[in-house]
Amino acid sequence: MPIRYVGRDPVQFAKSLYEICRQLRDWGVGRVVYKHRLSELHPTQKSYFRLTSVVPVLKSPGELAFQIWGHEVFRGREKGVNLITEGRKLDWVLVPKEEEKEFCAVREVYDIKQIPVPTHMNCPPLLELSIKGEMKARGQAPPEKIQIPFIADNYIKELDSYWA
Amino acid sequence: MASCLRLLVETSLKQQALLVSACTSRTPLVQSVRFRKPPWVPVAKSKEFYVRKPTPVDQEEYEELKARYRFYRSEVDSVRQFLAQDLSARQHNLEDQDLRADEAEVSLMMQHLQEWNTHVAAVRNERQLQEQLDHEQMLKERLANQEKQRMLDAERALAELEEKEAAAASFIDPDKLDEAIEKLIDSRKDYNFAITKSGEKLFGEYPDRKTPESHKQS
Repeated sequence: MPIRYVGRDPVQFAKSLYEICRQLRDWGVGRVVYKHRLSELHPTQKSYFRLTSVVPVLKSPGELAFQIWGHEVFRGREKGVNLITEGRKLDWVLVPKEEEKEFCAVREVYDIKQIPVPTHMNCPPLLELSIKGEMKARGQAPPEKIQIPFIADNYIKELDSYWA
Repeated sequence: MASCLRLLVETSLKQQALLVSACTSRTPLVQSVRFRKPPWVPVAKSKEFYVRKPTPVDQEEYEELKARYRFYRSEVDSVRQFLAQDLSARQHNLEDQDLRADEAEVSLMMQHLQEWNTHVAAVRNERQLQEQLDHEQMLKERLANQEKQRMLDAERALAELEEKEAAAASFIDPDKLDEAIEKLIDSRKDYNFAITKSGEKLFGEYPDRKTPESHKQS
């Protein structure tokens, strides 16, 4: 019988953090791991975790999971010690000890402040017409172009997020 | 029904179900109608592990659209907030206007009220004054009446007293009782009288004639 593949096409080809940690000394505390997807998306900007605390949790006989905290570096920026919520995903790669120093050297930082964000935007045409009409009715001289303040809070928040 | 059909002809479950529905319902067998397997029928062997392929996504287009939508939604949000601020400002103005209008209306009403009050007060005061005067008049009259009545009573009492005094002249003293008795015995009462319509007593058999004194004495 020919082999028949069943299920979804795989998207992730690496290991889960649980697989990695259960084979390391001290459960992998102090080691560096990174997500394959992030390395693909942003090749020049380094994102990795240096594990600080790894607590084993036995989910079922034969299934060893962990609660892992690590010092996060996301796209070159340091984000402090955080809990890793995606340890289950098969997307993790362990950095060998010899290559750690070279790997962790951050050359490019994704700085949100470098990205230009406008403070004002052009008013939509119909709204502009109505405002100009109102100003004329009140007796004020309307300007040529009406500018509306651009509320950039959500924009910056999204740019700064994991899924930018 | 389906079991007997299966004995006769080797048909698929789908065809059997269609035939059953055709037999039970009055509609004709129309196989162009969309068909769905009943829930108690198991999944076909060829479809058991079927997994759909994810919709193809052009990565470049996806990234471009993501960036553009991010910016567009921020723009829309900005416009919305601008309009909200404008609306709240207008509402504040309207509220101020309403407040002033209400105050003006209330002051006007108070003015009218004061006018009416003064007018009504004048009328009321006049009436009350008149009532007071009437009352005083009434009291005076009552007093006068009482005085009059008192005087009348006094007069009547006096008259009565005089009457009684007059009548007292004919009273018999206990000292002079013997004399009185003798007098009565000596006297004679004459009941031989007639009465006219007016009550006048007419003494004697022939009242028109003068009666001699001897008749009276006997």
